[in-house]
Amino acid sequence: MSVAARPYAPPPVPALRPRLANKQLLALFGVALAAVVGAAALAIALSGPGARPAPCPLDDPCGGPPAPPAPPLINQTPWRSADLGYQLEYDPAQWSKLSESGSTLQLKLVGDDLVLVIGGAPSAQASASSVAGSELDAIRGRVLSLSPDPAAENRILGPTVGYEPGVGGAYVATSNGNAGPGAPLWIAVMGATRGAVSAYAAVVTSESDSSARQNAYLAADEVLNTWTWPGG
Amino acid sequence: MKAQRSSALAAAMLSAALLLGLALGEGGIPSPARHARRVQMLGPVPPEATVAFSLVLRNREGALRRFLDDLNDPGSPRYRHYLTAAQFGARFGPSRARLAGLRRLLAVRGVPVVRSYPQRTALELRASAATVERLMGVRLVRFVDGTGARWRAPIGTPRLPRRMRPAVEAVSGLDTRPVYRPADVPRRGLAPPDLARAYDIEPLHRAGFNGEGQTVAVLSFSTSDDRDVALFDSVTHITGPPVKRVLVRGGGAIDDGTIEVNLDIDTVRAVAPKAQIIDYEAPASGEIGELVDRMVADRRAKIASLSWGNCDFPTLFRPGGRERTTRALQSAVSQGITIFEASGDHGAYECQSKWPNTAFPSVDYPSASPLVVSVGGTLLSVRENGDYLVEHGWEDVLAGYGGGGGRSPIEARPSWQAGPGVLNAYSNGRRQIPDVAGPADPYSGVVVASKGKITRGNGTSQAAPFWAGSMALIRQFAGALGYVNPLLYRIALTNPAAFHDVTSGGNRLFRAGPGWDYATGLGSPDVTRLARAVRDSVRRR
Repeated sequence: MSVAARPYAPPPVPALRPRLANKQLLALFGVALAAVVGAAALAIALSGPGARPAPCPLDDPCGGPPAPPAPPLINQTPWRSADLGYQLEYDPAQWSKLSESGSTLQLKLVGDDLVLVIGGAPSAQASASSVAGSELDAIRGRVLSLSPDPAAENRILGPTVGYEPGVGGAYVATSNGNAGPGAPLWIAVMGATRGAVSAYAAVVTSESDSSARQNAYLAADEVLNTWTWPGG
Repeated sequence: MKAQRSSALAAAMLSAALLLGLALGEGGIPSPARHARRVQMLGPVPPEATVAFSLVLRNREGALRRFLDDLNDPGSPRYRHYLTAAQFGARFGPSRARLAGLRRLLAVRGVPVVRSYPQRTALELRASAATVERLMGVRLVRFVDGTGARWRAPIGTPRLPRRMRPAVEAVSGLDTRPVYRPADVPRRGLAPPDLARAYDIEPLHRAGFNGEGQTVAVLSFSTSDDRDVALFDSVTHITGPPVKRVLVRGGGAIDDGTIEVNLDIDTVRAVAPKAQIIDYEAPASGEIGELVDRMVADRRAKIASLSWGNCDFPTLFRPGGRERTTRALQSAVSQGITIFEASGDHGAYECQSKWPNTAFPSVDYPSASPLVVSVGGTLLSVRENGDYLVEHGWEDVLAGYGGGGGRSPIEARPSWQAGPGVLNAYSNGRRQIPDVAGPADPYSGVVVASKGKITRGNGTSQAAPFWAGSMALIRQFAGALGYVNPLLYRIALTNPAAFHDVTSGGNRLFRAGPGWDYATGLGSPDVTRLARAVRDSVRRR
């Protein structure tokens, strides 16, 4: 790990009294210059990229009291539901945001035909099954002949949202284009409840190659694995 | 005659298919017909073709099991009294006289022994196909499957001459169908976390523990190019001893498994850069037991990383293969060698690696053996300064990936596998895996150089060498360790801060939770704390 070198500002040189002789002045100047150079060298050494803290004995605490923990690393774009408090991160180079509301977010995988939708409701109003079911109904209204996916290898085993076990399933349908039935679609919907919130996640893709579809699903998993429920 | 032979072979095809594990039971498992169609018989193995195979030697099983129990029982006077390979052979293998007799009988039949091991677990033999067929009463046939994989297998059950049987438990290696596969290594992944920072390895590195004087074996059914190691070193600014290679039965080839070899080597090197890595390489037709036997006989490595395995389903193993591997693993543990084995990448459904359309809970072998440390997977998150923040049990439920974990269908739970969480609602007396866990999610990928390119690894294939490298540092710091699995469970009780207990996430079926769990075992290491705990434990002995 490198440490960025901070710009060095030399300490102010104290004003010399005029009554000092030239020799004394020169000597004092020499000492001050040496101090400045020494301090500069020390600062550069400590802030240089190769700097390492002095080794601590493995068994003894050293280096002073522990620093307060740094905040969690967030190296992607965070998104938080204003209404319900759950949050997640997505890579803007990988995902484009199609829409959002106080509780929903719709992302499209760049370069792939996959849409990820998340949303939810207060658990007092809707269970995991009902939020997932509502989203499935919404999808059903936009596609043709939605039905459970008969392919065993496409089953969603252990559905979760935000690592919370819940309900879910895999479905197939046909896209409903302007010119009538279009491409086959693969759909997965999951729902889960934690505390006061029930949430769902759904993916819809027309990727027919199973290997490519799995890679697209993996990208959606990566987003869902950043999920944080309200309250941690 | 020709027609007769063809028809005999055709009839034998079904039995071969059965032997090859293509005919399975109910419950959504593929039907024999569907899969048998994918396998084609190419014809008999030419009589003059050279056939390499092994005899798995019968050992004193009862005495060996008692010894292994005592070896890991702190209350036993034989606790941690490890044996050399030769001592193991003398104590538990066939007697010298019996072995000499077996060699004579083989020589008379034109089957020379090309390699034996001081641990007396197996004999490696080589003979013409015609000789082998006469000796065993089988016919050797060549096959190809839909993926283009080619192998040979015996039609009929190999039967040795009666006088050989007292010294021989099984015949291994006549069937060369590739069965072991690496855990999947998708090429995707994000920037690697700083392993040393996140897992508290930095204090060891700073104090000068970088793996000097330690040897880590990587066990592979493929090979890699030295230029990839050089590329990894240049990208990561690592300087360490050149990787050594031991070719077992001619070694592996550059193929789809090459990235696995690269991942294992590079991950060990990332954690313990000064450790000597020895890559034991066998062809895809090899057995894990062959790799382990060679490593044990070499007496160089006390720590090994293994990222190859197989869904633990009886018909998926080649005849004699499981016996061969078990014998070799027993001799490794008796010598105090610890093998870290990836638990698999399909979560609680490891057999999906073989049959994607199945959904029965299943585990990997030999990860499910109590003779290895089974390593599951996590997703790591860090703080802005690179410090450890949290880990989740690795599961990508949409894509169908996750860290392997569950119960062995065969092996009993060893007495040392104990502690909070071990006995749970799913316990049935069988061995439970994983033992520990490490970073495996693609999001937690580490840098890998493979086939001239820099990529990122993932999977429990990454977690296993991560543990092997960490243990090399710990061994350098704490001294000789022996087989560490029982020690890890005791440390989890006495010094739980040595582990990051992973309490969220899962593996597509089981959930991670406080204490041991089927998704992440005891958790991931705080390496410096674990090193101290191990050293204190070693001092107390």
